[in-house]
Amino acid sequence: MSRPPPWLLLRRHGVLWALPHAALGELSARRPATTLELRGGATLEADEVLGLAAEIEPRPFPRCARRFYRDTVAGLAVWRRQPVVLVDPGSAPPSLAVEKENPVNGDEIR
Amino acid sequence: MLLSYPSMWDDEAFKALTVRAGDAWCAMPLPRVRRVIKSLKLHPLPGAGPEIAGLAEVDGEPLVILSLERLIEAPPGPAAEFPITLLVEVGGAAREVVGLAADQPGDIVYLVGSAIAGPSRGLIRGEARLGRGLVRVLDLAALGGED
Repeated sequence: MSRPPPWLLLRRHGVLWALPHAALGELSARRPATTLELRGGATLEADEVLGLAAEIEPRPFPRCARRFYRDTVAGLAVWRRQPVVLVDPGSAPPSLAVEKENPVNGDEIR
Repeated sequence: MLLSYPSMWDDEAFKALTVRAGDAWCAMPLPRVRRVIKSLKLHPLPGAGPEIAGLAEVDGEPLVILSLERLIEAPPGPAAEFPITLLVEVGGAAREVVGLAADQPGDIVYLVGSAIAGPSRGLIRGEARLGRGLVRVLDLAALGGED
Protein backbone atom coordinates (compact mmCIF):
# COMPACT_ATOMS: atom_id res chain seq x y z
CA MET A 1 0.00 0.00 0.00
CA SER A 2 1.46 3.34 -0.99
CA ARG A 3 1.88 5.98 1.65
CA PRO A 4 0.28 9.38 1.16
CA PRO A 5 2.64 12.06 -0.08
CA PRO A 6 4.11 14.06 2.77
CA TRP A 7 3.42 17.65 3.57
CA LEU A 8 5.98 20.16 4.75
CA LEU A 9 4.81 21.91 7.90
CA LEU A 10 5.61 25.55 8.43
CA ARG A 11 4.76 28.17 10.97
CA ARG A 12 4.14 31.69 9.80
CA HIS A 13 2.44 34.54 11.65
CA GLY A 14 1.48 32.14 14.42
CA VAL A 15 -0.34 29.79 12.05
CA LEU A 16 0.50 26.27 10.95
CA TRP A 17 0.64 25.85 7.20
CA ALA A 18 1.29 22.69 5.18
CA LEU A 19 2.79 22.66 1.71
CA PRO A 20 2.89 19.57 -0.54
CA HIS A 21 6.49 18.45 -0.23
CA ALA A 22 6.65 17.70 -3.94
CA ALA A 23 6.10 21.39 -4.65
CA LEU A 24 9.23 22.43 -2.79
CA GLY A 25 12.23 23.28 -4.92
CA GLU A 26 14.79 24.74 -2.57
CA LEU A 27 14.82 25.68 1.07
CA SER A 28 17.31 28.12 2.50
CA ALA A 29 17.45 28.79 6.18
CA ARG A 30 18.01 32.41 7.00
CA ARG A 31 17.33 34.54 10.01
CA PRO A 32 14.82 35.61 10.97
CA ALA A 33 12.85 33.69 8.33
CA THR A 34 13.37 30.64 6.12
CA THR A 35 12.88 31.09 2.41
CA LEU A 36 11.19 28.37 0.37
CA GLU A 37 11.44 28.41 -3.37
CA LEU A 38 8.71 26.41 -5.04
CA ARG A 39 9.09 24.44 -8.26
CA GLY A 40 6.46 26.68 -9.80
CA GLY A 41 8.62 29.74 -9.25
CA ALA A 42 6.95 31.28 -6.22
CA THR A 43 8.97 32.14 -3.14
CA LEU A 44 7.51 31.83 0.33
CA GLU A 45 8.74 32.67 3.77
CA ALA A 46 8.29 30.80 7.04
CA ASP A 47 9.16 31.72 10.61
CA GLU A 48 9.83 28.06 11.35
CA VAL A 49 9.95 24.83 9.38
CA LEU A 50 8.68 21.98 11.52
CA GLY A 51 9.39 19.09 9.16
CA LEU A 52 7.47 16.56 7.13
CA ALA A 53 4.13 15.07 8.10
CA ALA A 54 2.39 12.25 6.30
CA GLU A 55 -0.61 12.04 8.57
CA ILE A 56 -2.37 15.04 7.08
CA GLU A 57 -5.99 14.43 6.07
CA PRO A 58 -7.16 17.32 3.89
CA ARG A 59 -10.62 18.73 4.42
CA PRO A 60 -12.22 21.34 2.16
CA PHE A 61 -12.35 24.93 3.34
CA PRO A 62 -16.04 25.54 4.10
CA ARG A 63 -17.81 27.23 1.22
CA CYS A 64 -19.87 29.32 3.63
CA ALA A 65 -16.69 30.94 4.97
CA ARG A 66 -15.23 31.76 1.55
CA ARG A 67 -16.93 35.14 1.46
CA PHE A 68 -14.90 36.10 4.53
CA TYR A 69 -11.57 34.69 3.32
CA ARG A 70 -10.64 35.27 -0.29
CA ASP A 71 -7.14 33.77 -0.36
CA THR A 72 -6.77 30.50 -2.23
CA VAL A 73 -5.99 27.52 -0.04
CA ALA A 74 -6.07 23.79 -0.69
CA GLY A 75 -8.07 23.11 2.44
CA LEU A 76 -7.71 22.59 6.16
CA ALA A 77 -6.36 19.79 8.29
CA VAL A 78 -5.31 18.97 11.83
CA TRP A 79 -1.82 18.11 13.01
CA ARG A 80 -1.21 17.27 16.65
CA ARG A 81 -4.55 18.81 17.61
CA GLN A 82 -3.78 22.09 15.89
CA PRO A 83 -5.56 23.37 12.79
CA VAL A 84 -3.42 23.55 9.67
CA VAL A 85 -4.03 25.60 6.54
CA LEU A 86 -3.11 23.64 3.42
CA VAL A 87 -1.25 25.71 0.85
CA ASP A 88 -2.11 25.59 -2.83
CA PRO A 89 1.38 25.82 -4.38
CA GLY A 90 -0.07 27.39 -7.50
CA SER A 91 -1.60 30.26 -5.58
CA ALA A 92 0.06 30.73 -2.22
CA PRO A 93 -1.63 33.12 0.21
CA PRO A 94 -0.12 36.60 0.59
CA SER A 95 0.49 35.80 4.26
CA LEU A 96 3.33 33.53 3.16
CA ALA A 97 4.88 36.00 0.76
CA VAL A 98 8.42 37.20 1.32
CA GLU A 99 8.33 40.37 3.33
CA LYS A 100 10.44 43.29 2.26
CA GLU A 101 13.33 44.22 4.45
CA ASN A 102 12.98 47.31 6.57
CA PRO A 103 12.84 50.38 4.31
CA VAL A 104 15.79 52.68 4.19
CA ASN A 105 15.86 56.38 3.67
CA GLY A 106 14.92 57.24 0.12
CA ASP A 107 12.67 54.19 -0.46
CA GLU A 108 9.64 55.09 -2.44
CA ILE A 109 6.40 54.87 -0.49
CA ARG A 110 3.63 53.17 -2.47
CA MET B 1 -42.56 15.78 16.58
CA LEU B 2 -40.37 15.78 13.51
CA LEU B 3 -39.69 19.16 12.03
CA SER B 4 -38.93 19.74 8.40
CA TYR B 5 -36.52 22.64 8.29
CA PRO B 6 -37.50 24.19 4.94
CA SER B 7 -41.07 24.60 6.11
CA MET B 8 -40.38 25.58 9.68
CA TRP B 9 -41.09 29.24 9.05
CA ASP B 10 -44.82 28.58 8.77
CA ASP B 11 -47.27 28.44 11.67
CA GLU B 12 -45.84 25.28 13.15
CA ALA B 13 -43.90 25.69 16.39
CA PHE B 14 -40.25 24.70 16.38
CA LYS B 15 -37.58 24.53 19.02
CA ALA B 16 -34.89 27.17 19.02
CA LEU B 17 -31.80 27.80 21.10
CA THR B 18 -31.16 31.32 22.31
CA VAL B 19 -27.66 32.72 22.72
CA ARG B 20 -26.20 36.14 23.31
CA ALA B 21 -23.79 37.62 20.79
CA GLY B 22 -22.49 41.02 21.73
CA ASP B 23 -25.46 43.06 22.91
CA ALA B 24 -28.03 41.02 20.99
CA TRP B 25 -29.92 37.86 21.80
CA CYS B 26 -30.48 35.44 18.94
CA ALA B 27 -32.52 32.31 18.43
CA MET B 28 -31.52 29.57 16.02
CA PRO B 29 -33.41 26.41 15.06
CA LEU B 30 -32.35 23.66 17.42
CA PRO B 31 -32.24 20.91 14.74
CA ARG B 32 -29.34 22.83 13.18
CA VAL B 33 -27.29 22.84 16.39
CA ARG B 34 -25.08 19.80 16.69
CA ARG B 35 -23.25 20.68 19.85
CA VAL B 36 -22.67 23.49 22.30
CA ILE B 37 -19.21 23.48 23.82
CA LYS B 38 -17.20 25.86 25.88
CA SER B 39 -15.20 28.42 24.02
CA LEU B 40 -12.42 26.82 21.99
CA LYS B 41 -8.81 27.81 21.69
CA LEU B 42 -8.71 29.80 18.48
CA HIS B 43 -5.87 30.01 15.99
CA PRO B 44 -5.73 33.06 13.72
CA LEU B 45 -6.31 32.94 9.99
CA PRO B 46 -4.27 35.79 8.48
CA GLY B 47 -6.06 37.59 5.71
CA ALA B 48 -9.53 36.64 6.91
CA GLY B 49 -12.28 39.16 7.51
CA PRO B 50 -13.45 39.96 11.03
CA GLU B 51 -16.37 37.57 10.60
CA ILE B 52 -13.90 34.69 10.97
CA ALA B 53 -12.95 34.45 14.64
CA GLY B 54 -10.30 31.83 13.87
CA LEU B 55 -9.60 28.17 13.34
CA ALA B 56 -9.97 25.40 15.88
CA GLU B 57 -9.76 21.66 16.28
CA VAL B 58 -12.70 19.58 17.45
CA ASP B 59 -12.51 15.81 17.70
CA GLY B 60 -9.57 15.74 15.31
CA GLU B 61 -11.30 17.82 12.66
CA PRO B 62 -10.44 21.37 11.60
CA LEU B 63 -13.19 23.89 12.12
CA VAL B 64 -13.72 27.46 10.98
CA ILE B 65 -15.16 29.53 13.80
CA LEU B 66 -17.31 32.49 12.78
CA SER B 67 -18.05 35.39 15.08
CA LEU B 68 -21.80 35.50 15.58
CA GLU B 69 -21.52 39.06 16.89
CA ARG B 70 -19.89 40.14 13.62
CA LEU B 71 -22.25 38.13 11.43
CA ILE B 72 -25.32 39.83 12.84
CA GLU B 73 -23.55 43.18 13.24
CA ALA B 74 -24.45 43.35 16.92
CA PRO B 75 -23.08 46.14 19.06
CA PRO B 76 -20.56 45.04 21.68
CA GLY B 77 -22.13 43.70 24.85
CA PRO B 78 -21.02 42.93 28.36
CA ALA B 79 -17.90 40.83 28.78
CA ALA B 80 -18.56 37.16 28.21
CA GLU B 81 -18.43 35.22 31.47
CA PHE B 82 -19.07 31.87 29.86
CA PRO B 83 -18.34 32.13 26.12
CA ILE B 84 -19.43 29.22 24.02
CA THR B 85 -18.93 27.74 20.58
CA LEU B 86 -21.90 26.30 18.76
CA LEU B 87 -21.28 23.63 16.14
CA VAL B 88 -24.03 24.28 13.63
CA GLU B 89 -25.13 23.02 10.25
CA VAL B 90 -25.39 25.80 7.70
CA GLY B 91 -26.53 25.87 4.10
CA GLY B 92 -29.42 24.34 2.28
CA ALA B 93 -29.20 20.98 0.57
CA ALA B 94 -25.42 20.79 0.88
CA ARG B 95 -24.86 21.39 4.54
CA GLU B 96 -21.57 22.20 6.20
CA VAL B 97 -20.57 22.35 9.83
CA VAL B 98 -19.00 25.52 11.17
CA GLY B 99 -18.49 26.95 14.61
CA LEU B 100 -20.25 30.06 15.85
CA ALA B 101 -18.59 31.93 18.67
CA ALA B 102 -21.14 33.42 21.07
CA ASP B 103 -20.97 35.11 24.44
CA GLN B 104 -23.60 33.38 26.54
CA PRO B 105 -25.94 30.42 26.24
CA GLY B 106 -29.64 31.03 26.81
CA ASP B 107 -32.66 28.77 26.80
CA ILE B 108 -34.43 26.38 24.50
CA VAL B 109 -37.69 28.00 23.48
CA TYR B 110 -40.58 27.34 21.14
CA LEU B 111 -40.97 29.72 18.24
CA VAL B 112 -43.78 29.98 15.75
CA GLY B 113 -42.89 31.12 12.27
CA SER B 114 -45.83 33.50 12.03
CA ALA B 115 -44.59 35.30 15.16
CA ILE B 116 -41.32 36.22 13.46
CA ALA B 117 -41.60 39.76 12.17
CA GLY B 118 -39.43 42.45 10.74
CA PRO B 119 -37.24 42.58 7.68
CA SER B 120 -35.38 39.46 6.67
CA ARG B 121 -31.78 40.19 5.70
CA GLY B 122 -29.08 37.62 5.22
CA LEU B 123 -28.65 35.44 8.24
CA ILE B 124 -31.42 37.22 10.15
CA ARG B 125 -34.86 35.87 9.37
CA GLY B 126 -36.60 38.46 11.51
CA GLU B 127 -37.29 39.20 15.15
CA ALA B 128 -39.50 37.53 17.72
CA ARG B 129 -40.60 38.70 21.13
CA LEU B 130 -39.64 36.36 23.94
CA GLY B 131 -39.53 36.71 27.71
CA ARG B 132 -36.16 38.46 27.55
CA GLY B 133 -37.37 40.90 24.89
CA LEU B 134 -36.78 40.97 21.15
CA VAL B 135 -34.49 38.28 19.80
CA ARG B 136 -33.09 38.02 16.31
CA VAL B 137 -34.14 34.75 14.71
CA LEU B 138 -31.39 33.22 12.59
CA ASP B 139 -31.87 31.35 9.34
CA LEU B 140 -28.79 29.14 9.22
CA ALA B 141 -29.67 27.98 5.71
CA ALA B 142 -28.91 31.53 4.54
CA LEU B 143 -25.34 31.19 5.77
CA GLY B 144 -24.69 28.58 3.10
CA GLY B 145 -21.83 28.69 0.69
CA GLU B 146 -21.67 30.56 -2.56
CA ASP B 147 -22.62 28.48 -5.58
